[in-house]
Amino acid sequence: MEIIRAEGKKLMAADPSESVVGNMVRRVLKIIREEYASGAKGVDSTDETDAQESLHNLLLAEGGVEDFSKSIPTLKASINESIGELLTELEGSAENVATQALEHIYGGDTIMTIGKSRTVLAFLKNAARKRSFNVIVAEGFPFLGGHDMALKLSEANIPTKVIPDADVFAFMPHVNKVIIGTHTVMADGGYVYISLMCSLSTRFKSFGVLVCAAMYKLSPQYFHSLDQEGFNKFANPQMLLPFEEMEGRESVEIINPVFNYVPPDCVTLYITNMGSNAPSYVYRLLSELYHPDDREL
Amino acid sequence: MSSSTDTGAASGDGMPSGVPNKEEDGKKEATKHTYKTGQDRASSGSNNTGQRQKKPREGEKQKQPPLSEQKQSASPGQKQPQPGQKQQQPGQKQQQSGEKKPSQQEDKQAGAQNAILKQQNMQKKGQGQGEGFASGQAQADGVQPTKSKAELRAERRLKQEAQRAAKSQKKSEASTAPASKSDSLRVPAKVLGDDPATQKREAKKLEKQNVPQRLSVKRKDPHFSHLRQYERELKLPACGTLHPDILRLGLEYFEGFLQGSNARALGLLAAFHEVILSYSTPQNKDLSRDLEARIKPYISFLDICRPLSVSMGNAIKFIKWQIAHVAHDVSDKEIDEYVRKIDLASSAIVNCSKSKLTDGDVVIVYGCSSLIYRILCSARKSVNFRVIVVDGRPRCEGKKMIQHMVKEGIKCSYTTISNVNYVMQEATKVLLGAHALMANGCVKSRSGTSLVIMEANANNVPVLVCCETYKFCEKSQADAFVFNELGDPDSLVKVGNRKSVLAQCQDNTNLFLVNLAYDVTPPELVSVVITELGMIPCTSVPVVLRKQAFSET
Repeated sequence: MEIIRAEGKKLMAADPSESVVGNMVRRVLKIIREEYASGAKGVDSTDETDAQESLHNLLLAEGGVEDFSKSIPTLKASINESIGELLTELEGSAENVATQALEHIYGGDTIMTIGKSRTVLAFLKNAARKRSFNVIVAEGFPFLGGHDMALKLSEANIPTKVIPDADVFAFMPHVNKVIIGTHTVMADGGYVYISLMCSLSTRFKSFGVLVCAAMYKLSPQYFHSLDQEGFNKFANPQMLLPFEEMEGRESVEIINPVFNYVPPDCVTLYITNMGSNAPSYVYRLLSELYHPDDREL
Repeated sequence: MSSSTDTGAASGDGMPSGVPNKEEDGKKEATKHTYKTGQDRASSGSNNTGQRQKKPREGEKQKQPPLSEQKQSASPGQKQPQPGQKQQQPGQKQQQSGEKKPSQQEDKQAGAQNAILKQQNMQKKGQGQGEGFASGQAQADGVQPTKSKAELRAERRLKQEAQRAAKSQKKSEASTAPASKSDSLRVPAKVLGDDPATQKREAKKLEKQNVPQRLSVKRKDPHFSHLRQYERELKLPACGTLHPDILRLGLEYFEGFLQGSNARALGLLAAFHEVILSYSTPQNKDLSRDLEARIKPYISFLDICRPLSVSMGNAIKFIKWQIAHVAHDVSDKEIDEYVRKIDLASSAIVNCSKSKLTDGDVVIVYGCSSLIYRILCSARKSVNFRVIVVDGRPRCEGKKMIQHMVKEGIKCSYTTISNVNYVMQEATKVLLGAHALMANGCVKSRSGTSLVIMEANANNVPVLVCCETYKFCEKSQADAFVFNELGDPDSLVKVGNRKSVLAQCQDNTNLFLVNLAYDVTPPELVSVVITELGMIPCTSVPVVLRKQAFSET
């Protein structure tokens, strides 16, 4: 576990804003704990120690070979098995989310999305098998994932419009749902995403904002919206203002953050691979997913 | 806003307008500035249907193929609906127009025609080659269907010169005075692009005024079928009658050299100034009538180049009013006066808004507004502040703004509209220009403005909108779609020097690229409007308008 933890830390240090890595490390840790607990139960059924207790012991007795050797024969296999399960869950998560599409989209809907998200793409494609609806894609400058998204949607026979980010407001009255992907879902139910959507949705409360997020994106971190530097990272300013286009550019500060925190009250529903939940319920999902001791890696 | 071709519904949709309707008799326009809604609608409705009944045949003939047909014609089933074909269309039309002419024209025209035909042949050859290749190759060709700007312009100039020569001949044969139809249709034809009858009428009018028409695009977005579709090709006029200044102005609008509602209005006034200077009343003709008739095609031409802005509409209204009320002598002084008023208004606004900036302010501006630029420049001398320029694709006017700021030595940051949430947290003020203020208090401005305003509201940052009163508009607008302008959809595809993935799928029937020019912000989001009359709330627009109407009469 120490090894995993250390490796996890290294990975996370590489890019602190990619919380998914940390989440996965936590999941693996949890698996080890669980498997050990069940293994311990199975092997010495006489030993009625609490799972938490034994884990605690395990943690403390890191150097104690004895503790490990006792359970290795079953433990390693079962851990591997569980990790395999986790992998298949991850791989299937997009489809799992997508299968719920028909519950949320009806014929004639006008749906807005922004940028590119594979989960959302699968979601919409799934819905398009049965129902016809329109999609408006905001292009999501500077990454312009929206173009790619629109291309794929239109290939799937979904009528698609591409609009520049600036036109989002003008189109809002014609939209009855916003379906977006996310980078991370925070513990308080807010989420982090490539900018913009935030207060739009607050303003037009009349429609639903559905966020498609597989479970692995749930992060036990808390952030405050004022503390954007806490999780943000900045992209190349060259994307906004190509160097050759301007003289005197060195005196201009170019701000190009990648993410944006959206408070939970802007979200109607999170659609995860385990069903859909309100933002207020995210904390509960988290406690099921991760072990409390692993919150801080 | 479903696209309805039904006349009644369409007239119900549109707003009663007090802005000059090009089809109206000039006299009426000058005297009556506002209309009552009820009458308005009724009369427009009845008139419309009357028109229809009169000539149902022609209407039928002209009617554009219904959407389904259009779709079919562009459907993938057909052989390569490639950009090549798209290009062919203008060519064909030219040919048609070229064929029509010879009946009236002589040697000189023939030469001109040859030039045009030659061009077409060249074009066709190019297409032939393109189509001859495998479809993949054709697609690759399709990525670059447009010629370089310079080429296009040269081509246009050539055409134009030829046509002008032809025109002058034609004119000498029969001096045609564009007759003005007394057709009191109230719903602006601008928003009835989906009504074939109106379209036809428009086309006819343009023909009568010797103004070239834009070609109708094959594929229309059902949401925006009522607006005029953007077109990269401008068939330049058979325009012997057009004043060179107007022609230049039109091209400047078209190419986007002249942007911003102030600049456009001033350009328009300057051009008309020239027109009036060079005008002399022909014998046994009434000045007001003749001049009015003279400038009508000019205005339609400018409208074709780029839909008129509200500021231009008001300026034109002013010019027309002056013309109608001038007795014998042409007064270009009045126009100068109007220009001076605009200038004075903006300096008054500059003075007024300067008081709103304090030391340490972080001001967010969006795009590039000439007025905002002036304000910031003059405030810089007394106040220490920082500017964050927010920019939006695809126009990216903010780059221009940044350049101005750097030149002025103002501390500034630059970001895009998608990050406005991020920068709004450090902002203390939002300073915006406007395209127009509508009678219901809505602020119409370049698209993206409303996003910035909304974000500012979410963060409790005051929003100051600066707008001269000549940009106030009698129309009301609650929705950004009804009156808007469609920009070049291809500009979305261009990313810097690259082209995005969408470049290859122009004829994908499921995909539309939409590029709106304006959006509309509801009045409750704006803290204050700074005008030359002082700081007023948005909702006082009708009051100001009424006062102006009083002072004019």
